[in-house]
Amino acid sequence: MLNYILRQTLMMIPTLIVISIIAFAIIQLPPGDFLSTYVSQLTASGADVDDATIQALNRRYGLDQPIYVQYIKWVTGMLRGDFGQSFEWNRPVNTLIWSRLGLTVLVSSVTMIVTWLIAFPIGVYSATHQYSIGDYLATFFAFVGVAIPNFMLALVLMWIAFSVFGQSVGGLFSPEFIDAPWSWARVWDMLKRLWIPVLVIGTAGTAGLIRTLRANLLDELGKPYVVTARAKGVSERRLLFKYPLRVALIPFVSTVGWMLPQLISGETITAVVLNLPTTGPLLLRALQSQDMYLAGSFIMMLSALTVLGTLISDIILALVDPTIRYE
Amino acid sequence: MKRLTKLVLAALVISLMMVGTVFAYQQAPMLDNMDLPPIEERLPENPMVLPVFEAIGQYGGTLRMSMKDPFSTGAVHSGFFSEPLVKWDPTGTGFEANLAEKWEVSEDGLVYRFYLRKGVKWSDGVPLTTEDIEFWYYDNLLNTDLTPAFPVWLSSGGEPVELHIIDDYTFEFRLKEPNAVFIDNLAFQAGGAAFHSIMTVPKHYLKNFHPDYVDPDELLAKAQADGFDTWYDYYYEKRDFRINPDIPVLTAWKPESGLVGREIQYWTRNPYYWKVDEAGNQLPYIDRVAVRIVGEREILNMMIANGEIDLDFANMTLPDYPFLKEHEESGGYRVLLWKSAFGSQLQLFPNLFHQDPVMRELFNNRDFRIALSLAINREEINEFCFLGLATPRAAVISNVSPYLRPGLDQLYAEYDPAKANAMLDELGLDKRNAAGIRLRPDGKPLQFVIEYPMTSEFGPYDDIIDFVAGYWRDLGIDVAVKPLGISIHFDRSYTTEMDFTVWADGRGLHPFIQPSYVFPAEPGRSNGALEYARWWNTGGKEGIKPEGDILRMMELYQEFVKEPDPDVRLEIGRDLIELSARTILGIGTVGLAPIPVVAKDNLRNVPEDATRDWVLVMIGHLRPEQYFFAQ
Amino acid sequence: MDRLSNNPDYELLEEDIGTEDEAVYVASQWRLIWWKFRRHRLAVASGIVLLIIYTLAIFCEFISPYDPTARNVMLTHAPPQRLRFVDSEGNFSLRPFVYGYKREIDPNTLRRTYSIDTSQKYPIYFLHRGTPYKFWGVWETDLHLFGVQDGYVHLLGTDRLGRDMLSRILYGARISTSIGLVGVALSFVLGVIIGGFSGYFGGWFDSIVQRLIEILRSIPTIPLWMGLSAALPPHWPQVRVYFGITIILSLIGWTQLARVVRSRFLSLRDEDFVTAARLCGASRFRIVVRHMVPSFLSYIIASITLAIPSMILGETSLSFLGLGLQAPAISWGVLLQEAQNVRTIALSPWLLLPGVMVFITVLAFNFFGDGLRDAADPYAR
Repeated sequence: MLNYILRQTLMMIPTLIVISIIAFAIIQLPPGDFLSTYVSQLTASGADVDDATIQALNRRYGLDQPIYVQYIKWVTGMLRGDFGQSFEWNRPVNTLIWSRLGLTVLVSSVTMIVTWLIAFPIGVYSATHQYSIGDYLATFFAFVGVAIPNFMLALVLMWIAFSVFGQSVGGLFSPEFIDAPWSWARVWDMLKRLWIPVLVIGTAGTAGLIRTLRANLLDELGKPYVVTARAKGVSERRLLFKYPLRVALIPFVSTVGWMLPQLISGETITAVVLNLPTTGPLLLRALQSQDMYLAGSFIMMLSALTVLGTLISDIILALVDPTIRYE
Repeated sequence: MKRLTKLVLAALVISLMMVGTVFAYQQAPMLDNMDLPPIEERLPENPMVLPVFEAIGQYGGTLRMSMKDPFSTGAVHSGFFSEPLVKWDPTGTGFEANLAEKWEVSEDGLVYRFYLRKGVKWSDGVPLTTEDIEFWYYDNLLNTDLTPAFPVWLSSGGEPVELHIIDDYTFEFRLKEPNAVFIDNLAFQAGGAAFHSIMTVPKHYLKNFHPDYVDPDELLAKAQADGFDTWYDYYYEKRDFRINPDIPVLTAWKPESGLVGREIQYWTRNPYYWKVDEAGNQLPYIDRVAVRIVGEREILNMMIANGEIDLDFANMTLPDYPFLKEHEESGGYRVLLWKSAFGSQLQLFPNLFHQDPVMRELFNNRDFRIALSLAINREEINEFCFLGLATPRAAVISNVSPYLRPGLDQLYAEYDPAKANAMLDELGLDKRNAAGIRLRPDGKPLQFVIEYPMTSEFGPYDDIIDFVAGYWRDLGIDVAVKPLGISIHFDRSYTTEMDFTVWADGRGLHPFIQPSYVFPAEPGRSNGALEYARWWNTGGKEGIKPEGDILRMMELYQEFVKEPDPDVRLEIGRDLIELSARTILGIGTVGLAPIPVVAKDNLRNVPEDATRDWVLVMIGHLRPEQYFFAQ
Repeated sequence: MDRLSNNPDYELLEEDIGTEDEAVYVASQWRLIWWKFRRHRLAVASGIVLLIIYTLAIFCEFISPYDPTARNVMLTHAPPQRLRFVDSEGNFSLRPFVYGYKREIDPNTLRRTYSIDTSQKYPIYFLHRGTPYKFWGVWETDLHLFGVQDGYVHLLGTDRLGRDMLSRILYGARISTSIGLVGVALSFVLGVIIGGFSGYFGGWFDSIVQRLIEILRSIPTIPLWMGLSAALPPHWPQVRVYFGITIILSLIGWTQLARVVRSRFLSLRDEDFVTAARLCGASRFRIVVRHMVPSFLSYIIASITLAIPSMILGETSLSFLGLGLQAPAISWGVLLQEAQNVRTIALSPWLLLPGVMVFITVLAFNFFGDGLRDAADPYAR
């Protein structure tokens, strides 16, 4: 077992190296660089920037160096825990990401819990009542969230909150609470706004969970041991909870690792529309403005977490499911 | 409202009574309990007296505004927080004294002498003197680490202008050759809009981070401890008021804390602000400014409709107008329509250096460009893309500018498709293929692509292009359109790969500060005439030398800038604008589209009628320090 | 939950055994799948909905009353017209008709408002000769499913330039629904080939493929989209951009399929019938094509069906981010992006109808795919 974990961990190293190259390349792929996006945004608001200034800024940001030099500088920095400086914010990448991490994790974990709370009973119900009206209705509502483009749903919900309830919208807090310390009033204020992102992101996630749970459970319920148990007169409730449900949950336990990056990044598009102070909009903006080190480091972090998450998943799976061989 | 008029009257009486007597100054109540020197000591000897637009104001309140993103465009920052030596006056056409109490220009136009207002203090109470100017000039601008490229507008004859310090409050700039737009540039570039804000460098504070004043090794160590590779990256951070709240400022409000990463940026009144109203009240009236970062426009729209924004002058465009008007009452605000200085919200440039020789010849033919211009139904574009509020016109400067000779704004701007067709026929494009597309002289169908940036800052580009492409298709031209990301569009403006490209026609009030809208002067901005712009920009080292009218425009510009006599200069300027209009390098559509500005009903002294433009430092000239909430 | 035995599935099963048991034993695999699929009524209904949507998309030129780019500048932001059979005086006519609009400009808000003008009555004619077009870009004709003689008919309203929303939604359907199909077809080819080989051969090939999939899947989608779509040359015409985007979507999508295929292969490799075939001396190729592929094809089809809706949604997200198709191209993503603002929701909500179309299509695909998956293994209980 230990051997297995060690080997998988070592396998991560080449993967991470390749990912770092891809992450860096992705940002270099679009034509131009941070400066051209920066200057073009300035011109779009009416400014004019002369060539000399552009050259000067180029040097200041080190964009005049060859790409491989920039890459090596970035990678070696990362090994020391220094993710570089954001051009646009003129701040270390670490600081920027940390400043948004808390609320991001909060939003993501609340969403995940809500998703589970919705998905679990519905999944069990539709598996045990396959093809019933209840099954159809439950799955229908589960899929509603998936089927509406998130950005549209977010805007429409916000509009409803605004026009029907006269609620102020956008962000996670009312202005007076944004910089306030935590208090019950602040929590309440947040809850009043949190329902929109939770609903938008959560509904998009429930359908997948329900579907998998339903399918797994159906598989299990069809197995001979269930039939035998029923024949022996085990109560239906016990029949369901004793084994099939547990086995059906194994695949979920194994995807716990995959949730790591989700916790950190949240749902970008929804967060952008809702103006949430989470990491998603930060990443998107960095990508759009080709803010190289911020975007690159962020991609690297998320990818590394996914790889790590997969490893954790594998290990959990190996622990939970005795049928897995370690070759 | 009644109370307000009473207040005005009272203020008038008071100010009349005070004529000839010693001025008594008042300060905001929020400063009363602070440990500060008395108001008389904080104000300069001769504080700047700002006449109010509407009424003497009341102290207090928080002004809520919003910004799209914390940095890039900086429209709000530069509009609200800039104090140049010389400022644009509220009309945006002339100048008024600001930090410089007065200034003199020598007869030959080579020496500019400035007199600083005596006793103006930084927000920490340290007086502003020419030492700060000296520090800014020698230790910032001429330091090649900090400023690798010396700003062009401060150069004369290819070299930096000379700075001479006369005494603590007097200094001179000495030029090699006259520069007609020197003061204009001081008001514009140094106003904070660009990268080298003239007055944001307090020597007494910043010298602690400059290697000429402290031990370079210690400085570097400090920089590295803060995560910077070089001393100058460290210095940039210390100099930037948006990042470093400790830096002393001269503006009406100062940042409460670092602004980076904040959802709301708070600014609080500067107790040492050096302007007063006519009644002797120290400005600003408003205690605090809260700038909320709202990346998503739609949220901003809802916030405004919900009454959560007190002033927005930077984010709204005409398509928002009906929505804003609809919610005026519920939001408790009024929508003002300010003027813009865009000669054309969108103009179309044929690429004069097209790689296909046939197309190049056509595009270089003025009659071809005129024919295309005549085919555009500008009234229709105005009606459907600008609610009928803009003006159909050619791509020339604003009618307010003295340089525009009457009638030029409508030159080739009438809608006459019959004439346009006849002109194309005359150009030898009279044969058509089965689909009705005109054939070029070499027998190929006449087709081109219009590339445009996906932006809505100047107007709904998608829609305008849709209309224009339709009109040109009616002429028998196979027109395709291609939207591009804004930075890709920008990158491509440095190439000669495109057929047709577009941009707005800016600088409608002050065409000669950055003249690239008048003639090809700046490679990235002179769409379609890249090589000529390169030639001009590099002083003939690169690019292609233009001939005829374009070369004549460049010559006229040089004459204009070097002409000391204002009357002669005016005529040269007019000649230049006229030649530019007749050459029609860019085909205009509609211009001077108003900008919707949202102001809370009780936010007063906001001018009803004004011009907002980048050159004017957005609203720097509209005196935000005297806005107030009527209670 | 305690009435597990009341599950309709069980009842059906009992029924099957009673009446159709002989038929069950001799039925082919596909027939069994069909029987099982039929029981998922929502899936069947969804299949019919999809059929309708694709028919609309295929014949969009004919069904649209107008050219989707034709502007009617006197009718911008006009709300949907109601189809009527009874006029304002209570007269019934079998031929449906619509009333025209009286247009006014609110002097204060400058908003265009419309009121029904009962004096303008436009009867609707079927198989009407309207604006000419090229059907599938080949046959020139002017025959439309319906239209009006003079006046106008905008059953789903118009957009800001007075373009007919119904026509735009139909034309958008062609691009948006086909992007899903083409994209999935590409992913399918990539996924089956790579996943299949990876699963069958195993060894170093498998490890490399697994690493590749792991890497591709660990990079967040949005940066991957941005990088790839930025690689599309800016001078490309819209048609090529369209293909570029489908390729991007499928380059990301194939990994999922490859995993499914691989795991199926792995589990089938040791199945008795495969061993039997091998012992009988069947060639490798024959084993794969004749024995293994058919036995998991149904799974693959189900996975594919479930992958299409995410492609359709992906297209809208790309447009939202400004990376996908852009106006003047017409897709549901483009239409939605144009409607993504509060003034639309507040003042002209019918512009959100493309979102409803996306909703219906994605939902239908999900249910349909669900049904397929339930039916995919007909031998399971």
